[in-house]
Amino acid sequence: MPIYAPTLPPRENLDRGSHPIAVLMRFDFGRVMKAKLGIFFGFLFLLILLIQLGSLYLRYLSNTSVAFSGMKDFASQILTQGPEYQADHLGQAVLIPMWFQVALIGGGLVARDTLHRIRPLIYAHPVRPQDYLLAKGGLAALLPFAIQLPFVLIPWAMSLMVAGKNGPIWTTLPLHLIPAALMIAILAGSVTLGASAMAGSPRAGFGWVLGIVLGTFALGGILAGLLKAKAFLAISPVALATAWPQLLCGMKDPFLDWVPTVIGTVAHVSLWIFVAAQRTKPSEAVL
Amino acid sequence: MISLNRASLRYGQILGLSPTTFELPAGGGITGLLGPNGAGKSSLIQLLSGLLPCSSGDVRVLGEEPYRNPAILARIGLVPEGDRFPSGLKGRGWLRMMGELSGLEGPALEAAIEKALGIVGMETRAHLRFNQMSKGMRQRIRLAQALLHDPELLILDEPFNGLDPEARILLMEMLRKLADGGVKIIVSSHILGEIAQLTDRILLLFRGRLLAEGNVAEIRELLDRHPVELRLSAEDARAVARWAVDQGELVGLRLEEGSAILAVRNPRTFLPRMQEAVVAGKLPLTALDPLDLNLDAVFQYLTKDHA
Amino acid sequence: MSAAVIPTPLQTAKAVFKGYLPRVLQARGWVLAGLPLVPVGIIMLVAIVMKAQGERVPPGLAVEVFHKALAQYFLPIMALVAAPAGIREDIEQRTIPLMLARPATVWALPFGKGLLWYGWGVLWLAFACLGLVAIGGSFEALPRMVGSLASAYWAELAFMTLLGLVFKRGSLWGALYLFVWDRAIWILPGNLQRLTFAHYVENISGTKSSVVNASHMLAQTQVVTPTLVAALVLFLAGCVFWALAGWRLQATPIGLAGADSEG
Repeated sequence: MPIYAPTLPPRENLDRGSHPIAVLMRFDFGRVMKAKLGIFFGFLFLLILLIQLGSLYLRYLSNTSVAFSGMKDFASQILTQGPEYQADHLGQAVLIPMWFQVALIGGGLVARDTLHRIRPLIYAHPVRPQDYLLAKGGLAALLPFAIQLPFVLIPWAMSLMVAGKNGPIWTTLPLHLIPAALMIAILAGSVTLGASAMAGSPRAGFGWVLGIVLGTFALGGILAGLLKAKAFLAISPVALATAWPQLLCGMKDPFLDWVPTVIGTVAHVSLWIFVAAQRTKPSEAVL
Repeated sequence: MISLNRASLRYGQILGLSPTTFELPAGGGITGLLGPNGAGKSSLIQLLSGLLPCSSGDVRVLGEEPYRNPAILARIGLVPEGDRFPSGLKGRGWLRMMGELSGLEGPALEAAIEKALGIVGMETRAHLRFNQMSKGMRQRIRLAQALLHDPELLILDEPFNGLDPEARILLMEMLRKLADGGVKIIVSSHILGEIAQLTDRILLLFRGRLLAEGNVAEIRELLDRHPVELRLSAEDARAVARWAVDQGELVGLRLEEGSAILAVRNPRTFLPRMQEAVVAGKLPLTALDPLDLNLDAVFQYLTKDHA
Repeated sequence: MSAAVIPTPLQTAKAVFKGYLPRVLQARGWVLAGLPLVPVGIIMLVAIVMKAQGERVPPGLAVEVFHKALAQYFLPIMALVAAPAGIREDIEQRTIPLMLARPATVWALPFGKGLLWYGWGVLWLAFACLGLVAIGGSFEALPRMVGSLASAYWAELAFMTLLGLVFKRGSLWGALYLFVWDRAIWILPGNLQRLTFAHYVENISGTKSSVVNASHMLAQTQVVTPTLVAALVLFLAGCVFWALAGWRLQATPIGLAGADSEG
């Protein structure tokens, strides 16, 4: 009687359906949408956008309207001008609420899976750790990018519509600020990803993100003052995020110079992605 | 000891337990809460253990409403479902905290911990952290915490989930011993065999309703319109079938090789007659096998009727 | 059967405090310890290097670090990190039913577990203040610095615990209060300043954050509260917040699957 060597069944076609990254992102995106966070932050961002648009209109009037010509000098004194004004579209007023929102949502992205021990189940499917990381990181970065985009495009479009090429906003503004928004989004996404990976629950993830973001800002500020070197602020993601629009708009005296901004951003992105990769390894995923 | 008077439990819009009325008498013994997932077992347990207040009606445990009632909670032990423990703690330390939360202190607390660990067989392994313990060990610790304060009523929610067969048998033995010692025990399960092996009294729940109450045979009696199926094995199965037809109790008959499958309307009268016939040598039986006089069948009948 | 024994609120708090004591020596405990120590440690290191190089360390450095790092940022972050490790953790991990099914005093549970993280945090805040003395802070001011941080941490931790039990997004509202409203103290007029933790920290410590500067267009005159009154206000506020947190837990039915207020 012949004895046959064991054979494996044919390899399953794993190309069917969406890629795991898309599946995981879609799932998390759906959860974020259901979280009803939009009402508070949506109102806040809308308010900031309206103020920006009001400021834009005021500038337009002071430049074009005879009735407002007397206010022109006063307006130029109280309103920021030139590259500073352009960069202000992604200024602190937008970025601070953005940090709060990404902390709240991004802080829970990985931590929720940790709390409910979801990762072992995810890794039981054909999902590689890098897929998991890319999906979570992708969503963590997509959110801040989506928040910033209207603050660049809506005032720019409005300026074009009301005043054409001579409007208060540069016609090339998206070319300056969309790359800045992208850098901020990558930075914010990686920080929240790493912080969330270190936390044991979404609330703790929120705490970790704010701790990292605000703690480094405080420390960076004191070190910069003590050592009289602004570059120390580069330890703070908040400072880095503030610097990117200013640098890309060519501000004379930006919050941080190019070298510390680039080094700080690369260091933060690498560090937090490394932390997240270590904390989400399959060996860490124990039922 | 336990009485529910039209007690119901809602989770927002979802009805966990429909208005339910029943009473369990005082004294020891084991009562099984049986039902599939989502039947309302955990809802009932949460009402009985004082975790949740009832949405309507009245729940009385040991004579009083148990919700946030320390006097009653001091007399109840709860073993909830699930494998959740505070992260980073060790078994013995956690038991000490649980004991202190039940008002135990000093030597009495230490004695209670040793006694409870002895009952569950964890004396030598309680020093481990929860994440170093196996699931069975954690289940035993969970049982130990419920026994610390010598409760009069012990409530266990799905205690056999995830336990290996040996651990299940040990747990059943433990529960029987406790019941013999006068502890009233309520055990929930959706595994019918487990409950059938363990309990002398069953509450059958389905879709948030109490369907039936009693022991297996009593519940079976409720099912008049459902005949009992019996397999009668004999060398001459046809002769057995002929005898059965003559009795006038059959609602169904099927012949298989070496056996006749009878569907009997009233087993209470049919079975004694069959016994007499066998003794008198009129019925050459080699084996009798009640096919559906078990909990599975009862459960299926009841749930089919109420689905 | 043993006679039913009902633990007092004090016994309940003590049991939870003792039971969770090992938790402070684990990861979150060390993170909490590091929060005040790391910034002060880094500044100390820089100051030592500056001194070694013959440079002068600015005289107001300790006060600046005290306000701008510890009081304004790291203390609220500590509250933000410690509060979810309190009774909120048991709700999230679904371990609280085992406590609620016992005859313990439910309202004492948040306080018992919070006290543990409070005591641990204050210990490291005190060490951080010692570090401030090492970078030029006055030794006489040390009790006031420790006292102000300890009082503020007491109230802020209780505040965050309460918000965590009341709101689904308690951490967010707490963070907004501590990092937005509290930071706005210098533009708040009159008695509104008394609704910030920062006001009491400044009045207990006896020093002001340099943020408040009359040259700022929106800056407001800062009101004064006597030191002892300020300490008493924070202590009482903390007591009220703990009591409300306890009441909230007592009044919230939490079953095996969690509670509605869960995030």
